[in-house]
Amino acid sequence: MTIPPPTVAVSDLQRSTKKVLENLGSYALIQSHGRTKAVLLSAELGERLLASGHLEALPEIPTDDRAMERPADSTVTEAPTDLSTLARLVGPVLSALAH
Amino acid sequence: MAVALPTIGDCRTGVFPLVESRLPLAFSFVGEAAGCRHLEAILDVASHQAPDDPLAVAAHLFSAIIAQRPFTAGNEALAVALLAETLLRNGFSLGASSPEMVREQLQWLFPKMHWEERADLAEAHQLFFYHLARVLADPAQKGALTAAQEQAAVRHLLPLVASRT
Repeated sequence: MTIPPPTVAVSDLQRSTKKVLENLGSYALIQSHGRTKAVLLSAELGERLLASGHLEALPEIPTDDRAMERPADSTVTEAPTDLSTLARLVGPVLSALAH
Repeated sequence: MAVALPTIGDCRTGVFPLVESRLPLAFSFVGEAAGCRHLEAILDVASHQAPDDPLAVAAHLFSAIIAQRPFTAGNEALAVALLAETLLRNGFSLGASSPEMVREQLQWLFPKMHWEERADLAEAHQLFFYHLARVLADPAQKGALTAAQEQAAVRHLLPLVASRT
């Protein structure tokens, strides 16, 4: 049996924000009339997401099912990177580190 | 498929000349045969670290070059060049949202880091690579980390600047 995710009504969040936050586990769906309006994350989970950089990376994750099934290493190539590309991306860093 | 890593042969024709062109004094990586053998060993060990995690392999390679210093000069710059090359070969693009985010995340893991305002580093990911290399090369900034902890910290930070295209 699948356990449904924790939910909080928008109206409850408006009326009793402090109580909702005190009782929040890892996360909760904020819903109104059965529709999810937002997702509330615990401070620990949110800070871990921010620190890991995954939050910024989320828009890069494909939502298309076929794209999701694409092997993760499909972009791997043995070919060397074009040196002009590498120089453009990190050339100034190499110069700065060399002095 | 295994993580794609440059070979020592690739280094001779690509990364070495690029780094050498940025060094203030004439230097040849190829001229240091022992250093080349050492780097080859580092590349070999890195390739066996995490077959399914290119970020972990890249983090190991970067940390090992800075810690073991296979050459008499240019090790930090070489580590950055090989880190970037490894990420690009494995389909990552490089970029960071802002210098502030980079600084905040680096200081969170390395509280003793000395942040430098660098007008010559226009991109946030460049500031990331520069400061990460500086921190790992300086025990006073890095603190008492084991090699494994150091690699884990780099692995943890890399998604800040590397995203799959």
